[in-house]
Amino acid sequence: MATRNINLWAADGYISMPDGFSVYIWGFAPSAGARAQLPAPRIVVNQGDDVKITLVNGLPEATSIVFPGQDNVTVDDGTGPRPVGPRFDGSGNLISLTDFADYPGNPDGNPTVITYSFTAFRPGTYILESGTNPHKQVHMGLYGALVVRPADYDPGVPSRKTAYGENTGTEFDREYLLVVSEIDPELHRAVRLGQPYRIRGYKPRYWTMNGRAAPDTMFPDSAGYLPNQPYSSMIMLEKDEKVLIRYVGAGIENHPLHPHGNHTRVVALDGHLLQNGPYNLSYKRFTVLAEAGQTYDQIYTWSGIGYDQTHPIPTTVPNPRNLAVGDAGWTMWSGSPYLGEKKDIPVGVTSFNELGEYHFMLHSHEEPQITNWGEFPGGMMTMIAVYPEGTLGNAGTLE
Amino acid sequence: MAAVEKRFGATDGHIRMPEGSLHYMFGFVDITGLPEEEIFGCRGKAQLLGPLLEAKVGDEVYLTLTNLGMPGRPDLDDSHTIHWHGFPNQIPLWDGVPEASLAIPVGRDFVYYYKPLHPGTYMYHCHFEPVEHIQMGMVGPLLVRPADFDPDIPAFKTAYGNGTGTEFDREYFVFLTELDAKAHHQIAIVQEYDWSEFQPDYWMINGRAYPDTINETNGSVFPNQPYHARIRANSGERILLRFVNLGYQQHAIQILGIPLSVIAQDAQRPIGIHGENLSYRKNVIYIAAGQTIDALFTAPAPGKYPLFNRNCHKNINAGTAPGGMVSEADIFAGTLPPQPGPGQ
Amino acid sequence: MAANVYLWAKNGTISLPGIGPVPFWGFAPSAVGVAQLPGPIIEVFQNDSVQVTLNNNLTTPVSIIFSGQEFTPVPVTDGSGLFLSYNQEAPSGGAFSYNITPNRPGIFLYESGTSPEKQIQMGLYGVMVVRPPGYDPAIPATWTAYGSGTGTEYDVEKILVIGEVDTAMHNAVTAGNPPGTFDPDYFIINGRSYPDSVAPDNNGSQPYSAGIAAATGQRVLLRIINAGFLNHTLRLLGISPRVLAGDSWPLKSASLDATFEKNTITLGSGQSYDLLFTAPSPNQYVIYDRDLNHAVNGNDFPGGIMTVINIANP
Repeated sequence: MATRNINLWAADGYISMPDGFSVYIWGFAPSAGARAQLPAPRIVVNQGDDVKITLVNGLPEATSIVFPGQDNVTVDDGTGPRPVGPRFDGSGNLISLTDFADYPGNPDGNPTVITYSFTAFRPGTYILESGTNPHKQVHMGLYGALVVRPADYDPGVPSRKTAYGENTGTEFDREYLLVVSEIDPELHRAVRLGQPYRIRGYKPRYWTMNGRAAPDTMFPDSAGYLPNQPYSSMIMLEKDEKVLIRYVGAGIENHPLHPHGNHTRVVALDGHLLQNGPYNLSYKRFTVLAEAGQTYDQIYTWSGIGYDQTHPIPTTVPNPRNLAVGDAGWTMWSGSPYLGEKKDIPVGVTSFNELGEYHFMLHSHEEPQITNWGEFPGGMMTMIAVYPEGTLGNAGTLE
Repeated sequence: MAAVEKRFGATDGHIRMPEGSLHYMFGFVDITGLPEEEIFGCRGKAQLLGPLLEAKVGDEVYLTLTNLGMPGRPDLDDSHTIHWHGFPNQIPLWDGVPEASLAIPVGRDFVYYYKPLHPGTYMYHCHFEPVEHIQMGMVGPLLVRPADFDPDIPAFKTAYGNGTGTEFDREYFVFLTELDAKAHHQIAIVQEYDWSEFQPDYWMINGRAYPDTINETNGSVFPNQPYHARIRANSGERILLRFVNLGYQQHAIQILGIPLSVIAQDAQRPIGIHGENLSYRKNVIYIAAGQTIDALFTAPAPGKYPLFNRNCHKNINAGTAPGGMVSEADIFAGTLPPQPGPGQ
Repeated sequence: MAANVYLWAKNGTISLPGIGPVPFWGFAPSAVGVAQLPGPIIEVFQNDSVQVTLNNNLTTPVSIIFSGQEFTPVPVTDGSGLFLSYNQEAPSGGAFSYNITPNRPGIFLYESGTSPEKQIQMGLYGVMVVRPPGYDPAIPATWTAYGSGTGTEYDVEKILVIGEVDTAMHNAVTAGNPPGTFDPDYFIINGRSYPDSVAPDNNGSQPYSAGIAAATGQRVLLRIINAGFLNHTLRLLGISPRVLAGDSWPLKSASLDATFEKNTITLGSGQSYDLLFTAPSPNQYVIYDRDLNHAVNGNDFPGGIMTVINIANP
C-alpha cells in the first residue's frame, strides 16, 4: 500500500501500419515532450495503492480521463478533494463526462494539468480513456489499460502469482495484455487537417492489438521501427503453463477473439471476479466477444495429448514439397508434427520457427478485421506460441 | 469408438438466393468413398453449408481433404485447409492454419486426424486466406456426440451425455452466415475485392435465405444448398438447437413465443468448477462470429412460431423484405414422424 | 386477474435535436391521445389474463407480438406460406384483441410483428412490465423485480428503452416510398436523444424521461431493454451495478447466486438486463452508449443515448 504518482501527457503523434500507412493519433505519452504512444503507457499498481494520475494536456482541445470500475475518483483544484463528475457549461450543456484539463492557451485561463486520485480497491484489469469528446478522442487513441495486482501478489510464490488473489482460481505463469481497437484513417486525417468528419461514415480500415496491426502484433516489445507502438501482442508459453490473457476492448466495435489450440476460461469481467461467495461463475469459451469499453480476464493453457516420437501421430505427413508450405514465402511451422522438433522446410521458404514451438493463431473471427485495409493477412491477429518445457525463459510479464 | 473415414473435396460452385440470383462460391463437397476416377467429376459442385461432419467422443476421425481445383476460376491455384474450430489441445499439423503448418494445393490430398474427447457443437472452415474463403462459403457444421450416445434410448439421446439434462427428441442446426454479392462477383470475374468494404446483401440460415429456409425440397431446386432451416416438432418434445455463427457479424436470433434454455456455449456446458449449474434462459440468442450456442426448448402448443433475427434490417434479400435470416418452428400435435437425422 | 389494455396505432411526430419534427408511427394510450415513443408502458401482474386491444389508425395493417412471452402467435401468411405478419393483424381502420397471460415477471417488448423491419423502426414498440406476486405499488417494502428470494428488492425503479431513428426512412415511409437501406442518424433512450433524454416526463409524444433521481443509500433498479436493431453498450460512470437478470430471467435462486458486477454492458437487439446499484454519494453519474457513435447528435457530442443519474442527500 503506497502512493503511486503517475504522469501522462496528452499529445499527438504518428503510428505505423504494416502496409506503410502512417496514422496521425492523439494519445498518452510517457514523458514531457514525447510523442503519443498507442495504447497509453501501461499502468500497473497494487491493490490498496493511492493512485494519483496527473494528466498534462498538450492537445488543441480539453481532454480528460475516465476510470470505469474505480470508485470515488477525486480531483483537487486547491480547495480539497472532491469527487469527479460530469462538467457542464454556464447554459447547462454537458462539455465533458468528467473533470478535464483544458488546452494550453485556452482563453478562460483554465488549468491544463489535472490530477485524478483514487484508491485501487479491487484487483483486476481496467480500461482508461478520454471522457471529453470521446467520440473523437477515444477513436484518435486516448485509451489504455490499468492493471491492479491483488494485495497478496507475489510472483515468487505460485499460489500468489494471481490476478485476483490466493485461492481465486486465477494463478498464472505468464500474463499478457491485449488492448484491441479499430482505426478509421479518414477520422484521423480529418483531425490532423482540422476538417469536419462525418460520424455516420465511420469505416475502420485497420484493426489493432496494442496499437499494432499484424504482422507487427507478433514482433517484440519496443521494436525499433515502431517507436510509438511499444507493446507486442505475441503470446508465448510453455506446454502445461497457465497464461493470463487480459483483453481490453477499446474500440466501439465488439470483437470476437478466437484462440486456436484450446478454450480459455474467463474468470473476470470489467475487473470483477466471477465469484459470488462459494459460487464460481467462470466459464470456458473458444471465442470471447471483447465488447466495447469492457475488459476480460481469462486463463489459457495448452497441454496436448502427448504426441511425440515415441507416441507418434497415426497419419503420415506427406512430403512437404507436395504441399503448400509458406505460400507467402515464410512460415511459422517447424516442419514437424511434434513439439520441440524441427524438420525440413522446402527450399525457398523462410521458417521463423525457433525451437519447434507450436503456433496457434489468436484473432478476431470477423475476418475482414484480420486484414490491413482489406488485404490479408493483417489486423487483429497474433500468435500463441507453445514452447517445449524449460525453453522459453522470461516472457510474459507486464513489468 | 470407431474409425471414421471421410473425404471432403474443396472446390467451387454456385448458390441461389430466393429471387433467383446465382452467386459464385467456394465450398466443400462430400467425396467419401468415391473411386479416384470419379472425384474430379465433383469439381464445381461445392455445397453451402459444407457436408455435416459427425463424430462421437473417442472416435478416430480420418478426414482427407482433397483440393479439386476451381473450374470457375482456372487461374486461381489457391490451396485449402480444414480448421476444426474449437478443437481442444489440437496440434498445428491438424489445425488447418497455413501460416503455422501447411495447406493443400490443387490436386493434392492431406489427412487430418481428430480424436474428439469433448462432445458439443463445433464448426469447420477453410483457413487459407480466411477472409475470402470463409465468406465464399468454405464452412460446414460439425458435431460431436457424447460417448454414450444412443439415438434409440431416450435417456442416452443427449447432447452432452446421460444424466446431463441434455436429452432431446430432435436437433437442428441454426448456422448463420451472410453473403456480400459484390465480393462474390468480383472474385468470379477475377478482380480484387477490398475486404474492408464488406457489406452483406443476404443473410442466411443453413446456407439459404428466407423463404428458401422453410422450403424442405432439396435436390433439383437447391442442388448446392442441401440444408433447409425449418424446425419441426411435436408438442412436448425436447428440441435441441445448435446455433453456429460463421459469418462476419453478430446476430440476435429469437423464436417468437419460445424462450430458450442455453445448455452449452462453445461446446462447453455451463457447469462451474464446483459443479454449479450455470445454465440460463434467454429470449434472444446473441451470438458472435466464431461462437456456438446449444439451446433447448420444450415444444409448446401446435402452431407456427416465427424465427427471425431481431436485427430486423437483416431480414431482407438484396433490399427486399421479407427475406434474410428468418425461418419458423412448426409444432404439431403428435403427427410428426421421428427425425431421421440432424436437421431433417 | 383480468387486465384490459387499449392501444391505438397512429401517426405522430417526434422531436430530435437539431432537426424539424420527424414523422413516426407509435402506440397511443387513447383514441384522442398522441402516438408516443416508446409506446405506453403496460403494467400487469404475473398470471394476469391480459387482453390487449389494438386499434389501427394507420393506413396499413399492424400487429403486436409479445417478445419473451411464452405464447402461440398466429402468423399471417400469403398463399405460398410467406410471412406477411408474425401475429394476427388489425387492419387499417380496424382492431384486434390479443390475449396473453404473462407467466413470469420482468420487462418485455411489445412491438409490431408486421413488416417489423419497417414498423418497429417507425416506432411501434413499447414495454410491458410484469409485476411479481405480492408487489403493491403503494407499499415500497413489496417492491421486487422478480419476487421474494431473488435478491431484487429496490427503492427506485427506472425503465430505459434504447433504440435508433433513421429519419430518412421515416420520411420515405410516411411519403409512401420504399424505406431504403437502414442507416440510423439518431439514437434514442426512452424515445429521446440527449439532452432531451434528461428533461422531465411530459404529456407529449416522447413522454418518458430517461433521467434518474435517487438518494444516497437507496437501491436503484435500472431495467434496460434494447428495442433497436443494433447492439448498444451502456456504460455507467462511477457506479458498478450488479446484473440481476438477463432477458427477465433472474440470476439468483435459492441454490445459486449467478449475479455479477459489470460497469459496461452490451445489449444485443431485443435483449434486456436488470441492473441494481446502491446509490452512492451525492453527485451526477452519467450513463452513455460506449458505442460512442451512438452518443452523438449528428457529429456532435454529447447526444444520442445518454442520460444522467442524479443522487442527492437522503
